Amino acid sequence: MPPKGKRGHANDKPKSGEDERDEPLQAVILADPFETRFSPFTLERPRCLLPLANTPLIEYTFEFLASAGVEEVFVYCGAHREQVEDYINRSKWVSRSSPFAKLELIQSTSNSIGDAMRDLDSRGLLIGDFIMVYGDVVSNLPLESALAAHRARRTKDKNAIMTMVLRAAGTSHRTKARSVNPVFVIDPSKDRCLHFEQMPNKDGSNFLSIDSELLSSNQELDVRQDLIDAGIDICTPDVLALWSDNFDFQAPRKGFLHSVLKDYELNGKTIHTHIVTDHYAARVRNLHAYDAVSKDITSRWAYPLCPDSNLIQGQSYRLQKGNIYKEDGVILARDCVINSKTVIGRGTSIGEKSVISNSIIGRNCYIGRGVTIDGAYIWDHASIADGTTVKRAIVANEASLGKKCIVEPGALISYGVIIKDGVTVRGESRITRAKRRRENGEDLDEGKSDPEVVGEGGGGFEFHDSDEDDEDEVVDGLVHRQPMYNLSHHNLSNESISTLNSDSEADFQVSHHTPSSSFLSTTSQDSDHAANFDHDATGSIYDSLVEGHETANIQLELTALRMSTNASDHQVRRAIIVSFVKRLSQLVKSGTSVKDAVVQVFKQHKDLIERSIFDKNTSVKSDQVDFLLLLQTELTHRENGNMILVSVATKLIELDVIGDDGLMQWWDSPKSSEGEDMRKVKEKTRQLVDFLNQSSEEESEDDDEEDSD
Amino acid sequence: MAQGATIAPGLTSFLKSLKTTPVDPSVEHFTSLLKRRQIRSSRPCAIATVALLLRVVIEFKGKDAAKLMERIRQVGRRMISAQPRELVVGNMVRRVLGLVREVVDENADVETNAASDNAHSHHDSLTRPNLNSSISNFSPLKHVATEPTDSNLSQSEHMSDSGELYRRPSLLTSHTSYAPTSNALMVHSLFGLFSQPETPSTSSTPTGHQSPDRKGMLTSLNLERLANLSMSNTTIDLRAEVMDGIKELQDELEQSDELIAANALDHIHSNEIILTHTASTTVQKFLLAAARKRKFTVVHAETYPHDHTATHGILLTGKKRESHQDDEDDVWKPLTAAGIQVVVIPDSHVFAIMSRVSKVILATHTVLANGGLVAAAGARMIAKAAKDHQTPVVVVSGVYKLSPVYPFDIEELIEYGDAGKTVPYEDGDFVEKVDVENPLYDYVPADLVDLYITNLGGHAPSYLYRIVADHYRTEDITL
Amino acid sequence: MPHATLPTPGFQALILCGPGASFSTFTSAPQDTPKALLPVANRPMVWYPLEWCYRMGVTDITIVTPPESLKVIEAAMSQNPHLTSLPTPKPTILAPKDLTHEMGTGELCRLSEVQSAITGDFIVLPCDIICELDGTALLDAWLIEEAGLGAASGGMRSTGKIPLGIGGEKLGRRGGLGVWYQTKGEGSTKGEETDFIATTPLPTPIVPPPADSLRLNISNLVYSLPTDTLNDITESKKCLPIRHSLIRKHGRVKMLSTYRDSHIYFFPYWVMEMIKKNESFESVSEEVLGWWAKAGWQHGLGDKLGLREIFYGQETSDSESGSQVAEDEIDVSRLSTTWAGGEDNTEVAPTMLASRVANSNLPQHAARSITRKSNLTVPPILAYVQPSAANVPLIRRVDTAHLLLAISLRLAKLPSIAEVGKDAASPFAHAAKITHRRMIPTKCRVEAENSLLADNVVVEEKTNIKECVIGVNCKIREGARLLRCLLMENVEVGPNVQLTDCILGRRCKIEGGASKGDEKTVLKDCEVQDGQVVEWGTEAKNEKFMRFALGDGEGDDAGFDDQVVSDGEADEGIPLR
Repeated sequence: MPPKGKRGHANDKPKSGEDERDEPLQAVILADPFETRFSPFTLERPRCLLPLANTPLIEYTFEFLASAGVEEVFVYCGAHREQVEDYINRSKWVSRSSPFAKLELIQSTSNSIGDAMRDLDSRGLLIGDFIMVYGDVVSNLPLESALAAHRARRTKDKNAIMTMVLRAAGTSHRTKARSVNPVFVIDPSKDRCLHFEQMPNKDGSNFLSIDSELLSSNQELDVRQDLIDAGIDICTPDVLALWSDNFDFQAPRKGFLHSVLKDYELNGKTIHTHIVTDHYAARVRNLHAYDAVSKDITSRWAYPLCPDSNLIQGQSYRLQKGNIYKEDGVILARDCVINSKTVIGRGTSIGEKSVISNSIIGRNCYIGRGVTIDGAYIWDHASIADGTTVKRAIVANEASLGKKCIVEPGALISYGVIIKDGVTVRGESRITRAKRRRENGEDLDEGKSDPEVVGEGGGGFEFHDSDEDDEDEVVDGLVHRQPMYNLSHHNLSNESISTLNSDSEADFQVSHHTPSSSFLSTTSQDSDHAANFDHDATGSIYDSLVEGHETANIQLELTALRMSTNASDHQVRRAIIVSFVKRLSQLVKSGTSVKDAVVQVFKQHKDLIERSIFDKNTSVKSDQVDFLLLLQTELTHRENGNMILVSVATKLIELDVIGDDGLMQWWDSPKSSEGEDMRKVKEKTRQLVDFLNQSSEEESEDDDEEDSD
Repeated sequence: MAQGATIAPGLTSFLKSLKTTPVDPSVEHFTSLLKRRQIRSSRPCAIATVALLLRVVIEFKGKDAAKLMERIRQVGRRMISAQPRELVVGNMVRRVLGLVREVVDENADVETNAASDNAHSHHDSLTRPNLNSSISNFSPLKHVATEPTDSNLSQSEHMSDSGELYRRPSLLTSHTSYAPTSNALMVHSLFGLFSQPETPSTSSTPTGHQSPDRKGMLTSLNLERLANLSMSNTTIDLRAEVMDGIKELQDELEQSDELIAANALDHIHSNEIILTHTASTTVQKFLLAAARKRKFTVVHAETYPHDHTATHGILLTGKKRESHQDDEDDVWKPLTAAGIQVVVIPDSHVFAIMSRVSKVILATHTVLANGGLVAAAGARMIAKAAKDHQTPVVVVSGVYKLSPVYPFDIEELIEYGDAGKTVPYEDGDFVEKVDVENPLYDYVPADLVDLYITNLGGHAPSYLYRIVADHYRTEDITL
Repeated sequence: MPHATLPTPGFQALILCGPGASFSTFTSAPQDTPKALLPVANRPMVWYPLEWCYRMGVTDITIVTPPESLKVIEAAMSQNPHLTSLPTPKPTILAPKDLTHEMGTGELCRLSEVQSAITGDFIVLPCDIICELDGTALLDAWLIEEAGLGAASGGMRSTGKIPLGIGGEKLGRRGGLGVWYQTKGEGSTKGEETDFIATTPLPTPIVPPPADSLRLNISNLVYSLPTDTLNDITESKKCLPIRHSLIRKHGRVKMLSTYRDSHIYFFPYWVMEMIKKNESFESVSEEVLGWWAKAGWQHGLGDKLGLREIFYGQETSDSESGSQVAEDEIDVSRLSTTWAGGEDNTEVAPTMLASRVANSNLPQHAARSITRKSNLTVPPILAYVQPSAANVPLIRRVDTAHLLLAISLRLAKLPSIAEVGKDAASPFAHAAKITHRRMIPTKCRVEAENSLLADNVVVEEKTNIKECVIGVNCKIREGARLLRCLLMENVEVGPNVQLTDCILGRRCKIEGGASKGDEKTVLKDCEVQDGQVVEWGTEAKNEKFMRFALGDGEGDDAGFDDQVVSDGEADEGIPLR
């Protein structure tokens, strides 16, 4: 690392000397990545102002740019522009002392990064090379060497239009993107990125396909999956031009990068990488990353970006042993316990016998007696009453939890939500008070609160916003490693739909949308339909089952419904399952033996099921697994569901609707075995599974063969 | 501008901008640089601070000394709060405040037509601020007699209870800050007690030494005097004098290394084996000075992971890696070029090699009033090893690093750095499961140090409180 | 580890002497001139691997050859001055009766004779390897990276089979090591065969290896294919599919397409068993390595290759005791810092599940409980990929005529021992470039620095010899001009013959004639078969002079050490005469 650093500086001087340009170094901050991964919080506040370790995200970005010596900054706002604006106007970055000579806000109606870039291009603000970052970058790495390398390349070859700054991380790392990993194929000799792909890729196959000419034309290729992509790009104006040339680009990586690399023959543009192995660089791309980066900051991996360097005025954090950061004026009861890796803001009071660990608590919070907070993020002015337990959840500003509440890991409690005493907030629930009014996503109105969720007289309701970029919503949610939420408690509330389908999203979602479109927020109307699709479909199927219609007709109806509401296959599957099971149990009640019932329902309509499963020939039978999961979930609250499950499973196998390994995978899948009832239901199916093991091995045998020679 | 684009902001860019921008923005600038650790380690901090304070004085329009001091104090607080662990910033602020007070006192004396020799002595102490401290190797007894603050300090120095250490000065300062009159009274009374036996001895020095406490009394008096009768000429030369006082301070900063190096030959003898660590300009110059006359061996602990790059740099090229930023940081040729054999060892080998080392020379981050010091991590281990092997430990440090702070809470003084330096951040499992702490500094207690070499010469650790007393006014200890 | 410092005496070398399908010109009759005895820079080919073994202290050497070549090789062993000059003990020559030329190396290893011959860790060498690189360094690297706490890595003893216990860090569970060399760059001939390999870096050791250690270039092999196979795949699939499971498991995969497998393998004993178990393994370099490399990251593949039985023994192959074993296996390897796969265990379970159910990230204990069998940790196959620097030690396989010539000439350039002295000289240096200077008349040009003249070579007046390797008893008549030629033994070159880039087989004769007169003999890029007579007045370019064309010589890929005809000679016409 010392030689590297040296080299950086060594070839620094001549470069800067050689293309000595008077144009200042510019940067563009995409303050709004046009995603809804942080909803419901992003309903009321812009994402870049969400507090990370009690400091607004965008502060980190500014710090990064400032220390990189950037002089002109353009902040590209999407939603909540005015909030961003007056925050920035109050911040030190516009004051005379600010390191930026120019700091400009740009507002546009664009609803995707692609549009934003095209808009930028049309404005022609950017003269020379510029740095493009998101409003949520946390990094302390100096860009000198990267810039130098970039300029050196560009002076050699005008077509080297972009340099991505990537941070090497191990094969498994908390700060890396989870479920959807980017894979960079790089020519190490030229640091040139040759191919970009995401795992799992769009056609659910589990293969990364490298072009044959890449192999032939390059002696050496590095396939890197161990990189943290902090979204720090050093671009030339040509990049913008490219954006505006191709109107279908939406996402910088999946869209732009991928396709630019793909048609290298056409445009001849090359994109390069600059991989750093020291310093810190990460993006708070989703809740999981939020968790990870917060941890990194409190345990000083991002030094000097840590609480006790008090980035904004008026902060007065002090480091104490064990990475405990306290601001002045924190009121601690004598026998409360503050464990390590904790941040506590000014004016917060913590009552007796409360235990705080690995948590970040904002300013002026009230925390009562005997409260247990672990790995949680409590934002300013929140209040938590006595005896409540909060684990790995986010409690936003002004939210208040009553006495003896239990907040399960993964729960998100949005602004001003009031949870009454003794309520248990489930892990996957996202409670908010604000509802986006449909006609224009901007302004909000108070939704009526739902006592189911927040208890009598509480404020807030279960949030489900169907225009969600379903990139990796819950998969990369706050709690991630052990998905605690057990689906067994669900009846078919829309809620569970949204979780589930975002869960298995990476397969079917991508497989049925163009990669870019998943960035486009689908317009609210049809997503409304998508929500009530389930209910219609289930109804219709069930009826036609009762009337004993032809499978074909049902299929027809279903397809029609699906088309009209552009529902996901997942939903289709659910609809089928629900109706079938309903029918089943009804038959069973009416006295038919389970076996016959199964035969009657499933055998008869097997095509229906088959049409809803698309992964016969891929090796990851995500659809089948999904199907079985739904079935299982559905059966958890039917009596003798386990019996039904066994017989149905066997039936499906012998009908060859479900492949053996499909079943195996379901069996292995974590969701199939979380929660008591799930396991209970599942248990009986064991012998079937055991029986199948042998054959399933054969199966995987040949699918191994295929690429072996 | 392209320069700005390629080179991260640092001390140089700050000093450059300082010339043009008014005080308050540049204070902001400075603090943010401190926060980003783009200005770090004592020397740059000191330089920046003094330069900044100079600006403050220059821009100060008012006539009132008290206002000026208040202004300086308030600027100082902001800078200190930005990075409380860079104690040097505080030191510099206190030094400047001290300067102002001296000027005020002098004017006061002028007006009150005090004894000319008194004034003269003041003049000395002003123009050559090192004078009184250079005389400061008198028996502490006399100082106990003359200087109440010192008496406290010295007593508290002898009792090694840190809690005590802490309370004493603060208690005292609470007096000075809240009720200056009472302080004056106290001082007065004490002075009255001991002044009688003093008078016969008419050497200039004791009076010179009475001056501080007399000042103590006088300041309180003449501050309000200054307030009501605002004589233009006094204020004029108030600013002027303070400014050239600051200029001298800057000279001191520049010269301190040379002054320290001047002592080298007294301490380093031929064929000695010297152990040192970290890349320290002061130490390098010190050794180089000795190397001109004598041949010896230097064992250099590389202090991985913080300074090893700088260490290697300083040994191979004679330039620290970051020294491309402050260009005025003069180049010197590396030790090896001076014909000195240098052995670089990892810190883990220190104990093993200590038995053969004849002297340990430590650079320091800052020196504390009780003779302890805060130095780059690894210093304490070295000092301890040296203790076990009865190897003398010499600390070289400019006076500007000497701060009136007492280590009542060591955690407060030690900064924890980037954990990624010690454990590769790539190691996902490690990062996930292990808490890594990476202290940048060690606190080395006074009893592990045998000798301090400052630009005033050599001192025993137990004696630093004197120098503290000479350089910082008790009123300024808490800002 | 008794043999961590110096190579174990129990270490065996297996030298496979193939038919050299690609030398159709010279090895047409394996019974009298097998490939192994072709002279490379005046030494029989097999001398090089033998010398290499002796150099690194491996003396238990077995030469495997088909029966028909047995006699010649034995004879050579006892007569050829170079071979006899090798230290004792002499290598044992093994000629399994049902070993044919077409048999693949994998099958060969399954032959009972070979099986019984191998009793411990062994090295597999082809007879055509020219390896300047010191084997000891490789062996050290292998031992450091792969040595277990246990001593022997299993094998056969007089007492019978040594059980593969799982004491220590996989006693008898070590991985293997292969060597790859860069084919591009200096000293490369066109159309040389290459292999496609993918490697992943080993975890950086706590104590970094010394700068000169080979370990710096040793990585973990995860994928290996001959390039032509790769091309088939890419043609059929339009791209190279790489399993996500690989990428998920190894964050960083390096793919190299211009390197070639030197076919030098350091194998622990169990590899023999693996080969025995899997009848389908055609050749060592393709199947064995390919599958083994994959088994490292592809879940369940190890089981399919029957490794579980090999490692745990049949009786413990059922699940729970198997898992039992695996558990403490895992613990042990956790403790180890030397084992390459050290951190893999933490990965395996999640990754393989991830490959099954999308986005399932479940904690490992769950994974363990769910996976039917505990996952099997396959010891890695390491790859020493020779860095492509300026003067790296020469590693080449001489399996085409081009290479034969090129390498011979390259070796000829080596300064002789006479010039630079014993220890400075390369191991392949000859005692002297020109054995008997005085036999060379004054009025002729022989460039000594880049030519090699063996014992009693007769050179007449006015000859011009440049960059040539000339074998024993050759006669170069008056006025002959030789440029970049390789002359085997007893070749006679007539007067005024001009030869460029030619290879002349044993006892062949190029008739000469008067310098004046329009007739002349000019051969360029020609290969002349043993005992051939090329009469005066032949002007040929890029031809092969042989008794009969053997078409079948070309294109049998499953050749003895899986030769593949390099496209170099595919286009060479073969004139019948």
